[in-house]
Amino acid sequence: MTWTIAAVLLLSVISIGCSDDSSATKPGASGSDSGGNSGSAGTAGSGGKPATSGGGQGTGTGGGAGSATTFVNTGTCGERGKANVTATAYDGTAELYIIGEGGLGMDVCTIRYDVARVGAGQDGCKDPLSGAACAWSHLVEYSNPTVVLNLDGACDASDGVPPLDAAGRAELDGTRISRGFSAAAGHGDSLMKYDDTMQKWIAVGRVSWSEASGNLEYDISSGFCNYGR
Amino acid sequence: MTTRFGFALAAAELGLVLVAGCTSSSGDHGNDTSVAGALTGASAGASVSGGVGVVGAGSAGMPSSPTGGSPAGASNGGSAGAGGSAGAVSVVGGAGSGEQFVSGVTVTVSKLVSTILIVTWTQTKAADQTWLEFGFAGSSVMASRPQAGALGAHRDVVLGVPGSTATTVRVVSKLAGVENKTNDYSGTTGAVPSGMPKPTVSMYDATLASPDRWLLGAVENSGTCTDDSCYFNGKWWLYVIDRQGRVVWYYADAASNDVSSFPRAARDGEYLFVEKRAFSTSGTPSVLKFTLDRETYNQAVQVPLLSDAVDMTDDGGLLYDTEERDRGNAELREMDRQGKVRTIWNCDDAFASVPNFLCYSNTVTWDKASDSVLLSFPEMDTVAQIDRKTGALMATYGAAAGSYAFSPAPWSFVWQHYANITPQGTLLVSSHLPKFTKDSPAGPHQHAFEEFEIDRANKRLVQKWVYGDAEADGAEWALSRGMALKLGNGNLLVNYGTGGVIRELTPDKKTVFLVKFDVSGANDYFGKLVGHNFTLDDLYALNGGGPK
Repeated sequence: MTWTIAAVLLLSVISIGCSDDSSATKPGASGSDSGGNSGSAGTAGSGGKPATSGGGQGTGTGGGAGSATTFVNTGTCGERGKANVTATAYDGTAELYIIGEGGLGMDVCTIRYDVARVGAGQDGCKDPLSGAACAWSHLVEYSNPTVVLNLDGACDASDGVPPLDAAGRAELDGTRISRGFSAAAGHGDSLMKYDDTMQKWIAVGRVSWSEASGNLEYDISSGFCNYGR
Repeated sequence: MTTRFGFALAAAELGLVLVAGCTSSSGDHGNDTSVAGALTGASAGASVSGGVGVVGAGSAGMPSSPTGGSPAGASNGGSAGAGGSAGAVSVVGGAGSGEQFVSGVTVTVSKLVSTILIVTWTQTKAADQTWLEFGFAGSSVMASRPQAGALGAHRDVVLGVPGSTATTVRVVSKLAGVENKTNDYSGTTGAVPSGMPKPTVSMYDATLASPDRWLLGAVENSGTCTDDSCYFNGKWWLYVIDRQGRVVWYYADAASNDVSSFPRAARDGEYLFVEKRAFSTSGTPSVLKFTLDRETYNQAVQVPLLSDAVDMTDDGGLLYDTEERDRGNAELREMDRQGKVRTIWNCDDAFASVPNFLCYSNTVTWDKASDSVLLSFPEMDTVAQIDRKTGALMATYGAAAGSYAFSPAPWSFVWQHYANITPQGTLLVSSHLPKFTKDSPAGPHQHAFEEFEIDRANKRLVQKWVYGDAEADGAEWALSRGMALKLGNGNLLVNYGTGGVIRELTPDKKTVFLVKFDVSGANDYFGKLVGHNFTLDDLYALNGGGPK
C-alpha cells in the first residue's frame, strides 16, 4: 500500500489544470484511438493523455514509441463520490470508474468503495488561495470494494491508475487518507487531501458540499486511459 | 420525465404543432444566398419521395424565387422554369449535370463531432461557386455556404443533421447562372455520445416561435440532489438541438469536468467561444474558440484569473472578471487579441466603503450600444454597469447604496443572474422574487425573469415585464443560474439554470418552445444545470472561420 495513497482520488493535482487546452486533448484522443485500434503507433502514451501534461498544443499526430499498449479502447478514468459529511463525521462512497467512448460515453467499469471517517485528518488543512482554514478534515478509509460494472472485462484490463482489477482493488482496500473541504465564495470550493509524499495539503479538484444538509459530491477525472483487450 | 408544470399537456400539443412547423418550413437551407431555386425544387422532391430530395435532385429548370417554386416544377426536369416572382435567376442543370464538374466525392463522419459529415471532392471543372445540398428523412433540403468553385480539392461540411441519421448529399457547381448538381451521395451521421444529457421538447409552436431553427446551449450532466451539492461537478456539454430536441452538434472535453457554461457566438468572426476553467480554481482558465467542425478554426486562449463569465467585443477583446482567482483584487479586465490585458475596473476599490461587499460576479455581458459592461454580484443583490473605455461606474441596480430606484417600489433583486441590456436598451435579469431568498425552499412562483426600462434621467428602473410571479406562468425555480435573452422577433429565451428548463416566451408570456434537461426520478425543481443559450438559424455562421 505504498503507491495507492498518492494515486487514489486524490488523483492528485495532475488532473487539475491539465485540461486548459482542449486543442491538446482532442487531437490526442483521436490519436490514441487510432493507435489503440491498430496496435501499431502506440500513441496513447503521449497523445492520449495530453490532459495530464498541463498544457501545450497537442499535435494530434501521436507517433513515437508511446506505451504501445495492448488495450483497444480509449476512455477516461476518474473518481466520483458522495457522502454525508459534518465536522465530526464522513460517511459515503467513492466510485473509481472508466468511461467509454473516448470519455464521452457511459461507464464501462465502476468500482465502489465505502468511505468512512476513522479519525481526525492531518493538521493544517487550509485554502490554497486564501489560506483560510478548511471547514473540516477527516481521516477516511476506503473499504469494501464492490464491482458495480465491469463491461466486457474493462476493469480487468486497463492502464488506469490505480488499477481496477482484482489485485488493484485489493490493494486499495483499507487505504486511509486525510481529506478536507475548503469553502470559497462563488464556486471555488475544493476537495483537499493531505499528500504524504509532499507532506502538505493540496487541492485535488472541485467538490460541492452543503453545510445545511451535509451532502457532499465530487467527480474528478484523471484524464484519458485505455482499456479492453 | 416528470409531469409537473404541465409537461404532460404540453407534450400532447407537441405533435400537432411540430407537424405544422415542418410543413411551413419550405425554403429551409443553411444560408440565404442564391440557392433558393434549387432548394425549393429539391424540397418538393423530398416531400414526394419521403426521402431527402432524391427526386428533387433530378429536377431542373426551377428558377430561383424567394417565395419558392411550385412542387410541380420539381418533376418537370430539364426544362427551364417559368415561375419565380423575384430574386436572382438561377437555372438548374440536368440531372446529375454536376458530375461533369467534380470527381471523387467522399462523405465521411467527422472524427471530432459525429453529427457532422465531411464532404470532399475534386473540382475538375471550375465553377463560379460550389456548395452542398443535403437533407434527411423528414427534413427539407438544407444547403451549405457557397464557396469559390476553383479547380482542385474541396472540403465542406454538413451541419444540422441529428446523430445516426442517413443523409443525402449533392455537390452543386454553379456556373454562368446554372446550378449543376451531382447525383446523390449518402452518408450517415454517427451516434451522439451516450454520456450526453438528452433534452426533451414538450412544446414547439412554429407559428409563434422565433424563426430560428436551432438552439445552442450548455448543460452539465448533473446528478440527483435537492440542494447545490450535485452541481458544478459533472461534465459540461455544449450542444445544438433542433426544435424537435434532436442533438445536431455537441462538444465536451472528455478528459475533464472543467466548466464551459457560457457559450456565445463570436463577434469578430464566425465561430463559437466559451470559457473553460476548473471550478476548484486550479489550473489556468482559458477561452475556447472554435468553429463547429473544430477544424476550420480551433484555438484555446489562456486567460489567467478568468473567474466566471466571459464576453467579447466586436474587435475580439475578451471581457472577464478575476474575483475567484484573485480574491481581494476583483477586477473587470479586457484581453485583446494579442493577449494584452488591461484593467477596466476594480470592484474592491469601487465598493471599498461598503463593509463586506462581496465582489464575486456571475455575469459579464457587454452592451455594444453603450460600450459598457454589466457585472452581477449575486451575494450583494446588485448589478453594476461599467463604461468599458473609461472604467467609470455608470450605475448600480439593486441593493447597493446609490442604486437606481425601482418603480414600482418596493422591489429588489435576489441572487440575480445574467444581467444584460437588450437591443431595445432595457435591462433583463433572472432573479428570485423580492420576498424570497436564495435559501428559500424550492417552490413555484418564487423566481422570475424581469425586464426594466432604464430611466437614466431620474435614476429609476421602471418595471416593464415580469414572468414567473403569476399563477399562469411557468412554475419552475432556479436554485442558481438562470438567464433571459431577447430574441430578434421580440420573444424571450429564458432558462432556469439548476431547474434544467428552457422556455421561449412571447411578449404576452405564451410558451412557444419548452425544453427540459431532466434528471430522471428527481425532484422536479432540480434538473440538469443549463448554462447560456441562444437561438440561431444559420449554423454555418458558426463555421465560417476565426477572427477577421
